[in-house]
Amino acid sequence: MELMSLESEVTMFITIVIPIFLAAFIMYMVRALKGPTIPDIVLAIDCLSYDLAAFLALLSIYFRSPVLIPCAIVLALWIYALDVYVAKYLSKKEMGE
Amino acid sequence: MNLLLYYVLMALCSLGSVIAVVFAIIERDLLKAVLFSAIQSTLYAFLYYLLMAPDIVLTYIPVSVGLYPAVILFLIKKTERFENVETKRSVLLSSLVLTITFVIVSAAVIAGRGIGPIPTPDVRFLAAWYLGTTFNPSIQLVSAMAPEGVTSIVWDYRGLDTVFETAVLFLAIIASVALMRGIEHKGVYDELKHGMSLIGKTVTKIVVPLIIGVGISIALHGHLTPGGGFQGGSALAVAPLLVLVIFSKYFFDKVGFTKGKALAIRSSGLLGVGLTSFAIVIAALFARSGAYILQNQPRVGAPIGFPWKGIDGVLLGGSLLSFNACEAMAVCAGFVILFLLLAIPEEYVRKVLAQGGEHEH
Amino acid sequence: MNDMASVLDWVLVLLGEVLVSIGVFFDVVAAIGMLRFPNFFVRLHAATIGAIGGAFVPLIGVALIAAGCDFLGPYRWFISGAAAITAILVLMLAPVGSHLLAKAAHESRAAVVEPKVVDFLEEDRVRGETR
Repeated sequence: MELMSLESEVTMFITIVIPIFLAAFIMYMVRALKGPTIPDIVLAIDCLSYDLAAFLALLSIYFRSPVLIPCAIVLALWIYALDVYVAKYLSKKEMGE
Repeated sequence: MNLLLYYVLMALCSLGSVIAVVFAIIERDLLKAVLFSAIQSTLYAFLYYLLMAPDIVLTYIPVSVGLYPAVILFLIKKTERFENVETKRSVLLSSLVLTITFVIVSAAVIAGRGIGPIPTPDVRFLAAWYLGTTFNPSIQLVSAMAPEGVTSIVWDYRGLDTVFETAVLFLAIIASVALMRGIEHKGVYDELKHGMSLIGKTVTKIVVPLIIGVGISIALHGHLTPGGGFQGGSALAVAPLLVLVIFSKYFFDKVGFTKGKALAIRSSGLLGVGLTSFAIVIAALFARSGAYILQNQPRVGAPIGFPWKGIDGVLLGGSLLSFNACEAMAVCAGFVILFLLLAIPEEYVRKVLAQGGEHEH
Repeated sequence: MNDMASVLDWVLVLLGEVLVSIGVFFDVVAAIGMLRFPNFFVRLHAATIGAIGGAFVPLIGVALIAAGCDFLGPYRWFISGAAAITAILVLMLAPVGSHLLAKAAHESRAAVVEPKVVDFLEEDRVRGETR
């Protein structure tokens, strides 16, 4: 028994999942803007961006556009680099050391 | 239904980025301000993604989310962390009211067609021309023979603009090298004292080859998918910058990778860009036919061109492939030079500058 | 033409959708945790759920969905491969980033352990036994 074609099933599933992602992003943003200490803010940006990378990959299927996918790789790499830079800033006296 | 989703996502992104920017401007702790600006850049990158411009996202993320906060972090470490400017509450409130008024008025004016008619899609002749001739084997005399439209505009249709941009970036790097002229610092690498923890170092050793692979793939695939020279070069630049921060600058001294070597790599990349621009001219001198500078494919009166198809039907992209490869090398080495110069310890720089003598500018 | 998708395609797509749903659930749980936990070091637990359960698992799910969607043409392997690469990178990089951040925050006292029961690392540092 086949309810609908593969294409419309995938589209419907992604349409249901998108608002839940958006709710999670808004909650991460509240912590990112509110967080009383610096590591709180960096952690919230970290989680927000990794989940944004997963969201970008999902949207590239939804928009039927496969060329949009390298953006997710580059986002994940540079957010990790930002994490490492802030950790180095907090822990050492000189950034080059 | 699809359009509604686009508009909702774009509206949320813009709202979020405006809020983050307001927080960034009124914050006195500069470290927090940098992080708020990174939030704004991430949301802007998502906005460009929704506008279906992956080349811009691939360029915007390294520059705004990676390099700009990194440079500012180096600068804050060398100077001061807290701004001592106190913004009065009345100034803040009045600027907020003015901004909101400006946004609402300009939105109303554009929606009411107050600035003239917005061009309809069927008058975009230039875009149709680019899309029609970027890969068209039936009219090879005007086509660029590379399927990726953005890269062929960047290096073929508007190649001169890109050469000038590369020259401007080169001048900026040379200016920073000239500012730090005569300040050379070497140290001994102590494994226990320098760098970050053992876990960080081990995982960096595993991940750096992966990052280099991803960067080279984005750079060399530029004529087929979104990517290209600058995007691939800046993805490639994550690896040495991570090694610089996690291991420490003294690791570079131990390995022997100095600013001079990075400058040599950058200069050879730029030499490659210059040679590729003149390659057809040189080949045509030997064959005694006409040629253009920055020429990619055969044109009227200039019968020699780069090969656009290799063995087994693989698309080579003509001169775009060598432009992308050389530009990626040049961009990566340029960023490494900048961070090697910034990583020199501040008290050493001040000591050298205080000595005077032949370092006077 | 679209209705004749094979059983293998349906299995891949359904498996991918299950993984994406698990990922979305972990995402929301982690976001609620980030808002409600008392201090930075407890929020690290929530952040790990968000980074691995909320990013690695959905990316694997996207790779499986894309491998099964034959309406995308031959480019679906591009999406599948790139999503798998991102998943591997997130799996390796996110925990290391959190570790470095937590170590730096504890060393520099940028974040304090506020409702404190016991902190052995602090005692070791005071006695000088860590480097």
